[in-house]
Amino acid sequence: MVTREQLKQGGQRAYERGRLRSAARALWVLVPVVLVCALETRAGETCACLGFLLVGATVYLRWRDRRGIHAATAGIEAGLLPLVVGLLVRRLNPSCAEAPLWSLCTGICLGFGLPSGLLLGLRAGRGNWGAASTGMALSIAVLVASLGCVGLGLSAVAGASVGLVLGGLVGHRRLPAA
Amino acid sequence: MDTARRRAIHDAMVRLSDGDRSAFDALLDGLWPVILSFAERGVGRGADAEDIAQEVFFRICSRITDFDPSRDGLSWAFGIASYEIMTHRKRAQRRREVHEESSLENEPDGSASQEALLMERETRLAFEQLVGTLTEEDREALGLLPPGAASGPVSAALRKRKQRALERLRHLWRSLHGDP
Repeated sequence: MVTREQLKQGGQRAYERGRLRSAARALWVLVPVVLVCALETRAGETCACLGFLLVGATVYLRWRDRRGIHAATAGIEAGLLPLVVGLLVRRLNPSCAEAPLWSLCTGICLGFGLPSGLLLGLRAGRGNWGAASTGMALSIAVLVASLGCVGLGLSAVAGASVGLVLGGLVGHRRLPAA
Repeated sequence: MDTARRRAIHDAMVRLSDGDRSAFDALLDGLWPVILSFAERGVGRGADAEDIAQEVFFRICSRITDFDPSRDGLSWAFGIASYEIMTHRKRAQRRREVHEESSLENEPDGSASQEALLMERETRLAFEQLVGTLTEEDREALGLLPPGAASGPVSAALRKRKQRALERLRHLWRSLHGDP
């Protein structure tokens, strides 16, 4: 005869395992993205480090609760545009990697980060995510974007990050007034 | 089951699928008795039913993250439980078949297996109990009285009486043990 306590413990273990398994499904998207970053930018160690942070944050958020799942998904989606643009710019203009802080390459990354961040901020405001979840979503977006911009140098990463965060803050604050 | 209880189970499932761990006690208290009784109906009372109910409960807990809140929680849980019960029955059937095959191999003389003998004994016992509930007239008509107790020639009226007694016996058997 199984006791209530045994049932509860077993059920909780099964529940957490299930949540972790569900959270780990994000790896199907994140691992290829990190691999593409490593192959395209030839900065394997940096990509691995960023990828580790990205996977950790995403799995944690998705494991935590449904709001975390939405935040992680929105963060990944918002970071994809600057990531693709960063990879494309590097392929089309490899000299961008040596460009100074204030350059066209930084501007491009910032320019594509801004609308992505804006959309993310609007989404967070509409969903009443709260500051913590919005911050986590923005962090994930910055990590994803960094994977694409890392091949263009630190200035491009900074540009994309500033664009995403600025856009996110503006979008998040705009909605209640609208 | 009343609607309020059904609603409470559904709400606990929705909260857990949203990541609210504090709903676990509510789910356990609401769902466990329902799952256990469902399993008992599926495989009969005993350790098997409890094992299945436990397996079903853990499976529900592990898959609750994927639960769609627009669906009815209890129906979803019963879906998982039905699958588990079906799997258990198939496994038991397979075990029985393997056992029967090995019994046949062990008994080249064609004598009945232990299981068949046991079933035959149980059927005979159930039949004797049932016959005991018939009236003496019916038993006489069916020729179930001890030798020498029955008397008189076989007439059309007796055949009719025998037919009616048989009908009653069949009806009683069905109501107690279901269709053969």
